[in-house]
Amino acid sequence: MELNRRHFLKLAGLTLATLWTGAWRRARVAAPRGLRAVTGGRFPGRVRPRDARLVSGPGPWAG
Amino acid sequence: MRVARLLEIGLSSASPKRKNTLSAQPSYGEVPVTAVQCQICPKACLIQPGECGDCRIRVNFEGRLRAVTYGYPSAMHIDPIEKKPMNHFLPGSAVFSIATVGCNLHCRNCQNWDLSQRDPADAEAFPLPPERIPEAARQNGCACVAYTYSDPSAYYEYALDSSIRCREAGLQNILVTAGYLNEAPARELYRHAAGVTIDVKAMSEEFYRDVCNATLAPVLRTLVLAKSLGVILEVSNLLIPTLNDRDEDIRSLCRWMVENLGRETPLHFLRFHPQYRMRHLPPTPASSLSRARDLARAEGLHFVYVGNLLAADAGTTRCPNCRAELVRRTGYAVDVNRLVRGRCPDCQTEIYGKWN
Repeated sequence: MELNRRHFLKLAGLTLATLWTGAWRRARVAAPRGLRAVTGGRFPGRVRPRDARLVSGPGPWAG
Repeated sequence: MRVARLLEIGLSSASPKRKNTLSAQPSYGEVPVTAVQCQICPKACLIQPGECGDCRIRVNFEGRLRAVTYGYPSAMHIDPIEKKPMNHFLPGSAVFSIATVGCNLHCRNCQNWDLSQRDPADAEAFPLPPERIPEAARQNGCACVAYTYSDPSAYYEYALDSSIRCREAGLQNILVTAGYLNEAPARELYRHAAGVTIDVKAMSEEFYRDVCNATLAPVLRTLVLAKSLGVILEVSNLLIPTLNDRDEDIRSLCRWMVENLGRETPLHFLRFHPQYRMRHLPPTPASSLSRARDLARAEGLHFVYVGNLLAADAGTTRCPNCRAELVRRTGYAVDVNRLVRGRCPDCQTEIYGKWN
């Protein structure tokens, strides 16, 4: 099936709608393996300096 | 950038002409040349180029797997060792606890879902390469380093390299894990650990399949392996109302432990709090935890504790021979420690654990 202008606009509209509703975030939780990583193997998130004040206390998580 | 990624995903799935770097179409039984099969855990993810495994951590980059969270923990804290939970390993110690995001399990009841189920692309992390961990632990007054919160099985390479460095530096390594790991990597990682707490979700393959997206058998194998390697092994079990808190569930776990791990292996029953995708269930009643402890003691386990609940005697260690109080705890704090060179001061019974 050729990707024509109508189809592309439909896809773009669906993408924006997904972003707006937050469904994309849910989909990433539900189906992580389908994601395509484009980061080249580096840590893809935000990196910030270690904060000694945060480290010194107990963690909010179990275990 | 994010929109570009979305478009890439959307367009690639719409177009019949996928990006194909293969020299030939695979036939039945063959795998694409550039796909890589992960060997860390029993899920054995076959990861296509540019994709990640089920843990979200390992990415196939140009035909090689890279753990994108390697050297980038998202959690670093100082915890009391009793919080792991570990009651038979250097009581009262402060433990330098680290974790990255991601996990190879997706338990619907996960208490740490904000960390374990988070995609690395959405996470914040700190740079801490393995060679810097001993220094960071010592700066915070810790003689132990714990790989915890999410699961060291998921950030395996980071946990392994860090364990080696810490052991060389004279620090003790603690693993807090679900134990869902293949035997070879488990053997390699656990031989650098001094203490391990393995969480058994339930003694049921159905539970592991339906709630955790995993299987039970590898966990049991890892438990036996950990015991055989001589690490101080403790077991935890999160009691979830209506799912794994029946008497037969508890007895099944206890009998298996007695038969395969020994009566001296400590067991912690933990209180469930509604989290993640199980917010519709109530917290575990205190009566259920007390009942579980009584059943476990009746089955012959020597050391049974109740966690995530402030209650009298919940964390008290008693001599299995004379029932003398050995270590009294309030929450995670050690109030009294009467052990003398790892023995009961009253009857000289050797108590399982590492006490000095």
